[in-house]
Amino acid sequence: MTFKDKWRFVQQNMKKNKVRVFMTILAAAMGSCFLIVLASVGFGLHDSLIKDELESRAVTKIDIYGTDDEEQLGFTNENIDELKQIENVDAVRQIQSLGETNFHLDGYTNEMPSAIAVDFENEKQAGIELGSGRLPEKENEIVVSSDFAEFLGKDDVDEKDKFTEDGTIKSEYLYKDEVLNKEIEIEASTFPEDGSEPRTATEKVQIVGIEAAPANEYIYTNSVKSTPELKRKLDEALHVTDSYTEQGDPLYDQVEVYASNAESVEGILNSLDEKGYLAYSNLEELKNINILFNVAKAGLIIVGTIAVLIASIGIYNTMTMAVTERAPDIGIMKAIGANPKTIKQIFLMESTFIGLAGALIGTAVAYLISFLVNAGVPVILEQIFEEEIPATLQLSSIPFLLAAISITICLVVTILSGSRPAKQATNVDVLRALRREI
Amino acid sequence: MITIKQVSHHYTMGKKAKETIVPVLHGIDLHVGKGEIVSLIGKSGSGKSTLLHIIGGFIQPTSGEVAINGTTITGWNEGQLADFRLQHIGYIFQNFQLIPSMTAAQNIELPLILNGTPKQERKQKVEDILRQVELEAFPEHYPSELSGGQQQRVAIARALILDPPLILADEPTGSLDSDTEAELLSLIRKLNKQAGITFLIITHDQEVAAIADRQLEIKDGQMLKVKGVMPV
Ligand SMILES: Nc1ncnc2c1ncn2[C@@H]1O[C@H](COP(=O)(O)OP(=O)(O)OP(=O)(O)O)[C@@H](O)[C@H]1O
Ligand SMILES: [Mg+2]
Repeated sequence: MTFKDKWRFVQQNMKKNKVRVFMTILAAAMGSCFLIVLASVGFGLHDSLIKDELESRAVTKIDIYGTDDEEQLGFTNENIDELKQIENVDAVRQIQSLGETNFHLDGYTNEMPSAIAVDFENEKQAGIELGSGRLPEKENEIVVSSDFAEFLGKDDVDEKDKFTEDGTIKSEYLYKDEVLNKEIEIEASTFPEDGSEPRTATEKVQIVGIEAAPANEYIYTNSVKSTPELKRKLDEALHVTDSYTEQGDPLYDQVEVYASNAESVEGILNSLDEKGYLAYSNLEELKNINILFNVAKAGLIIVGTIAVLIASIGIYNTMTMAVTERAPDIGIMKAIGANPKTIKQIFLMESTFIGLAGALIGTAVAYLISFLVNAGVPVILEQIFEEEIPATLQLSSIPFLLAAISITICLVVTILSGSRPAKQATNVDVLRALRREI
Repeated sequence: MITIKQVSHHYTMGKKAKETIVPVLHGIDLHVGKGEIVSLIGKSGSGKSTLLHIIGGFIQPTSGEVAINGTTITGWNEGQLADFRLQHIGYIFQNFQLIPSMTAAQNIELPLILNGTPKQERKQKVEDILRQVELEAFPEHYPSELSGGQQQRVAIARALILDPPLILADEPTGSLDSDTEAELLSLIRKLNKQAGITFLIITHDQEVAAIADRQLEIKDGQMLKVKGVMPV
């Protein structure tokens, strides 16, 4: 018997009982839809809370905070070269702090942003993103963070009056103009430990670039990145020698190593340990959170599967009834010479069709519900809590994997629940069926 | 065509532990040659249908052996028997056994579908056989829309459609009037002469017995005697 003929039989059988088949498909669809929507919350929250982080440079970044040589105060160029040699290291970012600095612009001052000197070639490799402007090319050029202007407050204003309750500068005292391409004065200070007078040095620099705003809208960053040459110039003017070796080579305060991918982080950490560096990566922590989310997702899928199992009782019922109803026909077919296998296949095809149709309809509806939830729930939450919900927050997400898992579960469950009725069909006793005893 | 050796059969009735055994057949020996028409008679309850069911592979004999067309089918499983039946045996039941939700043509087509015959060929064969049993006017009729004789002819057409070498019939004329019966008998004779099909027919009917080459009688579960003409 060809597949097509079997399928025609299935169609004829289902046509005889349209309503019953429809209801069973409906139950299966509801079960699989429930499963997907439930689990999609786990996937959605995981995606929006963690996944970005995992895929960003945050996981491939390794902070080096020291060496086991306690005499050494910073990292030398030799250290940097050594780090660059480690396998799977994409980039090494060495950072020198500019110390205490203030920035003056037309009677406005940004007090003590975190100012660092970096090699902009390394920054490029580490993935710096500019919102506008360009990277510095000359020594007296700097880039500032996107919130730099938010910290430029008017001079000669009483400190008590200058700030709002939450610590930001009141808007009337803020620098209103565009800061890009402005010339700004940098004022560096040093407070010698020997108790001599504090010294200051100033230098005119040009803001040539503004960094892109960070993805997380809540974080304010007030930072400045300058060239190492500018740092050296300021240090010379201040007579500061802390940041240099006796040979005059720079010493770096902080070093970050970037792995080429998350998988190689562990290997790099091991070689760093061997070489005597003290290092930290937040990959482990993220990994743990990740495991937690995956367990939660699996839990939701299991709970959703219960709904599919309940639907499968419907399929079991429908198929058992179909077999009982058609027992005389089955008997006749077997008497003519239908192989029990063929009969079993016809019934399995019917239950599989019901399961597949249910799973597909359920999946389609789940996508719709997920879309509506993502569009509607933030609006409702904003109404209730009168607070803005970040746009990156996704309540429900249905990756292809989830749809595939759900369809597989639905199919397996329906085939299992249809297999007993199908077996019953093959066991129909020909002579008893012909005598209409069953 | 059919060789039966020492076949005995009893039915087991009732639940376990309280079973009662109904003996039906005792050591039956039988040989039907190729191209023969053999009739089987006997009193009601003598075990005729039981014997035919054993030959058709619907029940396994308690003991003994059945061979059809040189193949011993005793001890086979249901799947093997079904495949064998489809290819070798056409079975005509006393009460037609047509599928009520299928038209005459669809009922006749069923063995072809099970056999995996291509659709075009199926259509042609069904048309041919409908003509042979003089039902060309009723292909779209459901069994409930056909007379008893017409239904019986549909059943015969279904049994014949795959050209089996052997046809087993359980009182095929039981519900037919004498005219229709005569037509059926001439059809059987024609098929026997032209296609060399072997027939084993259970009957109470003298007319049917008359066209047989041989007549067998079962009494008390034993093959009683052989009457009539010997095989050609
Ligand atoms: N499934 C069964 N279970 C128990 N006993 C049965 C079963 N089928 C038949 N019998 C018994 O076996 C005996 C033979 O039955 P069978 O149907 O073979 O008779 P028959 O010769 O075909 O009769 P008839 O001419 O009335 O059709 C009967 O006594 C009957 O009661
Ligand atoms: Mg009988």
